[in-house]
Amino acid sequence: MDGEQNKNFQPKPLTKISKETGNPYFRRDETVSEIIKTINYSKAGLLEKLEDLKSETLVFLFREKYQADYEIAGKIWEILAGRIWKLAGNQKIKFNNAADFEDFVMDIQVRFFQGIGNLESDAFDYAQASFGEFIKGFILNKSREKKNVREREKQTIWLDEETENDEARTPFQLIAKMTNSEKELIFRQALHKLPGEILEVCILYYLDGWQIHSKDPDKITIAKLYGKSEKTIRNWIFKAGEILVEYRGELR
Amino acid sequence: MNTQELQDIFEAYSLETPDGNDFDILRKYMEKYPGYKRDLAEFAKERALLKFDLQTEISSDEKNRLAKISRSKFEEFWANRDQEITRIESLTKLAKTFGMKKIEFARKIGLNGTQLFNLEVRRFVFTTIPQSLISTIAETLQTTKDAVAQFLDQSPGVAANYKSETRPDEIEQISFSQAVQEDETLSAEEKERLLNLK
Repeated sequence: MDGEQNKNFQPKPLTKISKETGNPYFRRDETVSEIIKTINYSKAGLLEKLEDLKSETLVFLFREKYQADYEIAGKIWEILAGRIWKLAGNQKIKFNNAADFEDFVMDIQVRFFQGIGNLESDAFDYAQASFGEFIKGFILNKSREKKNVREREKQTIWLDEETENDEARTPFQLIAKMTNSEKELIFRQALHKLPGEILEVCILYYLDGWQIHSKDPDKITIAKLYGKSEKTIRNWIFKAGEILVEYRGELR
Repeated sequence: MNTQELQDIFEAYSLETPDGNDFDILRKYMEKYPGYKRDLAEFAKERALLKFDLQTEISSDEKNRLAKISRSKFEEFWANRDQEITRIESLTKLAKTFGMKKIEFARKIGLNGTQLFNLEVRRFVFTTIPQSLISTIAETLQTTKDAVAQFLDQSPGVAANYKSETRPDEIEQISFSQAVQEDETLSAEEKERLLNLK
C-alpha cells in the first residue's frame, strides 16, 4: 500500500515571504522528497518510522495532516519535544536553576506547537525549512523576554597566563594542520573532556573561522562574544588544544 | 523590542547564508540592525554549533523524565484542542490558497460546481455527507478531517466568495443523496458513483 496512492502529491508551498529579499520561504529538496514518500504510509507504518524522520517533515505532518490524530500528533510531539531539549541544552547555564530552565523549555515547546498548529499563520514556516535554526533563533528570542535568564557567568574556567606568540606553540600548530574532518572527529570524541564553553570556543575558532580578537570595534569576535579578554580566549584554546592533541595521541 | 522582527532577521540571515556563517553578510545585518548586534552574534554562534551537531547529550533517565513532562504538556494541549483547531472560513477560499479555482477544486474532490456550492453554503445535512468525501476534501486541502467536519457541520450560510441572492435563512437543508438525485446536470454514472460513496 505504501507509495501507491497520491502519486502526484506535492506539499503545499510555504507562504511566508522574507522581508529582506522578498522571496518566499521554501523547504529543502530532501524534505520535500521525504514528505512525498511519507504521505502514503499507512498509519501503522508511519508510527513505526516517525523517529527516523527529519524534524522538518514532522513539523509538516503535525501541522498539515495529523494534528487531530491523537496517536500520531502525540508521538510527533514527543519526538520534537526531545529534539528541542537537546537543542536548548547549552542555554542551561544562563538560568539561575534547573527548574527555571525546564519551565523555559516547556514554554518553548508549547508555544512552538501552538505556532505550527495555527493554520491561519505562516509565522512558523521556517521550522519546515530548517528546524534546528528555527528553534535556536526561537530560544534566543524568547530568552530575551525572561527575567530569570542571567547574563553569561563571569567565571574564569582557566586562569589567564602570560602567553606570547601562541600560534607558534605546538597544540595550535598541530590542530591547525589537521583537516576539518579530523578536527571534527577529535572535537566530537572529546565532547565530554572539555568544559562546554571551551569546546564552543574551539569549534568557533578551528571549524567555523571566527577570529579571536580584532582591532576593528565593529567586527564580531570570540573575545567580544564571550566577554573575555583576547588573552583569556587564547589561553582557553591553547589549553584545550593540549588536551585535544593528547587525546588524538590516545586514539592512535 | 519586536520578537517577531528579531525572528524574521535570524531567518533572513540564515536564508542568505545557506552554507553556514558568512562574516561579511553577518556584519551587513549587524550594521542594518545595530540594536540586534549581540543577538545576531549569538545566533551565528548557535548556528556554528548546530552545524557541528554539538548538542547536549541527555542520559536515558533524564530523557524519560523529560519525555513524561512533555507528554503531560501534550495531554493539556490535546484537552484544549477544540480551541486550537483552526476554523475553515470557506472551502473554496482555502482551495484558492493552493492555486485551485473552484471548478478545479470541485473536480479534484469528485463533484460538480453545483454540489461544491451546496457544500460551501452547508446545504447538506451534515450526517448525510459521506465520510470518504470529507476525507478527500481534507486531503486535497491538506487539512484535518475534523477541521472540514467542523466547517460542514454548521448552519447554512452564504459563501463569502460566491455571488448569491439567497439569504442564509432561505437555504433549506437537504440530504447529500437527495441533492445528487435531483441534480439534472449529473449523468447516471456520476450519480451512481456519488450515491455509492461511503
